[in-house]
Amino acid sequence: MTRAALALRIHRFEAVALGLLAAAVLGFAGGLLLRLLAFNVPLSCFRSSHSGDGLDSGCAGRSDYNDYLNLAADVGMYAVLALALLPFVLGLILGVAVIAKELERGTVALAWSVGPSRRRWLLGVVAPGLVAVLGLGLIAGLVADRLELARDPSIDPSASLHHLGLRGVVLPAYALASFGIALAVGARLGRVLPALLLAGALSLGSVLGTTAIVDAMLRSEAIPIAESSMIEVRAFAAGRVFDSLIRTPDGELISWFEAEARYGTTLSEGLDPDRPGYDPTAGFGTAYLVTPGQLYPIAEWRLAVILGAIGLGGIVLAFAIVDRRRPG
Amino acid sequence: MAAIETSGLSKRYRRTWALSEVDLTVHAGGVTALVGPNGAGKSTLLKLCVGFERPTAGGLRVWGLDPTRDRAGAVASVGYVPQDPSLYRELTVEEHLRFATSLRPRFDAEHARSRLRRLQIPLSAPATDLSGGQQAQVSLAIALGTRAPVLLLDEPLANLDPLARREFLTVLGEAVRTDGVTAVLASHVVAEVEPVCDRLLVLGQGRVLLHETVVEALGAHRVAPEGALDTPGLVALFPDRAGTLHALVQAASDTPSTRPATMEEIVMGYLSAGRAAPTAGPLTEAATALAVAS
Repeated sequence: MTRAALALRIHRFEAVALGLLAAAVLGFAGGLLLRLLAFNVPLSCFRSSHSGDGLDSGCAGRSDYNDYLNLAADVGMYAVLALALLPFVLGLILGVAVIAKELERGTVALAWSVGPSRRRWLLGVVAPGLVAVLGLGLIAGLVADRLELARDPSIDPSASLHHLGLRGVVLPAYALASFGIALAVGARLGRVLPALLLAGALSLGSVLGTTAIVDAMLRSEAIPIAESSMIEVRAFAAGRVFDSLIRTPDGELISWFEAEARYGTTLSEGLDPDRPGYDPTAGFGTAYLVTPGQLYPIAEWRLAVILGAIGLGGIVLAFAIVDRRRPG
Repeated sequence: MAAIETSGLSKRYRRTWALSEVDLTVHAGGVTALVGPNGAGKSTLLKLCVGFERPTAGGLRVWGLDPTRDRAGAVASVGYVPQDPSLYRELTVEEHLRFATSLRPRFDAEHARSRLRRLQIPLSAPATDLSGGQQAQVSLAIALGTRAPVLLLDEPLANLDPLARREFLTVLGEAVRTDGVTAVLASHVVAEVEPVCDRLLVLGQGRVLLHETVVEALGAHRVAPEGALDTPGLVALFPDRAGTLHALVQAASDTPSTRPATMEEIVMGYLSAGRAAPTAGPLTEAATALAVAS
């Protein structure tokens, strides 16, 4: 029997519980994916919904199109969230179990006195856990990507910032981050419940913090796009809209607050063709600050790399703590 | 060769000194009984030897290796039996042996297996299905399977019933004879370990109070009737407590009314002296403790 198999036996409660959880979530998401594909909604329906001209008559007439939209939007959102949470939870629980459970039970006294190398012991329990959480995280990420495509086949998920952080390689990165943090916290505290709570809080903080950093980077990369071009460049459909701006007659882009302060009622008159006094030559227009969907791969990898680095840092820290700490 | 050698070894937990400037040499071979009350520093000394703790001050060598600098080497020289067997409840006995092999490639699983078979402990049984005595035997078999030259046993008898204790000690004594290991057996019950030990190491409040062979200790200590000794005079002569007590009892041996002390009486006498402050009063207490059986 290999070391990995023994590790699985030792942590079989967690393995079985998390295996069932993973099966339930992946089964739910996979089932939903197959159900959506079975609707066989023509691509033209999705394209027309983004065109701004309204749904084409062929789609509007389909009796099951509304069912599809409801399923894709409502149930689909639950599936996306469940898929994103799964690797996070897997990493957290397995990470805590690997060291904190053994410290709490006192079994490390046996392992550390029989095995001259604590690193070898830790590697023997970390490696299978890491493979499991990364593998399941990767599967969850792929299913979430596929689900994203099924929910709107007219948009390429790899060129859309929609649901950034809820699909793709970010999901195994969540698993790695929570696993590494849980490992380090578990090694330091040596108690399962406190380690679970603290590691959960730190992991959540890491995810939120990383998301905020990547969002700030995306915002700095946003470009102004005239309202008239938004549909053409699929900015609403695939990009991330950060702000709405006013384009002045001389081409300057300013915020709504500043525009109102500067122009008062002229602004409204200049923008609304239905208002009395509308002057099309006044030249006011609206624009949006948008990060194009084409930046998705870069944003996705930024998230994954930062979270992965946090996770790896946690693992390295756990090795250092185990190397120095006492068993009890 | 020294199995364990310490020099000024001290260990502090927050404000409490568990060990204080311990100078000690445990020579290779035989069983050393490490006795003392709770908090004497027995477990701390063993944990320092196996690399579970780091000294606050002083040095330590186990089979010639410093566990602080070369923990892997020191651990490879040691087989350790903790007070609680620390077995995995999810694994069978056989899986424990495989686990040990995976951690220590030179682990002699067959050696451990044959010992357990002789004790009729089922290898296929989960650890949780075994009695406390059997779990302790599994723990001992794993420690012996390491084939380490030094065996450290941290109060393995504490939670066992009398029958299991006797069986454990029988197996230990046999293993020491046949495998030629050096065993240090911690206990706070002297009478239990007396039949198997060759040396006596008494710890009290983190200090070594007595370290002699059992033969030397029994030969050098006698119990005197109360009031038979000139205690205040001896205090003036021997201000060091342990030395004083030794000399006190040696002096008592010249008194015709004394009788040989048992190991338990010797230990109790040293612990009484060790607990007290170095004044005339405590020495009287020590003498009284030694005289108690007369």
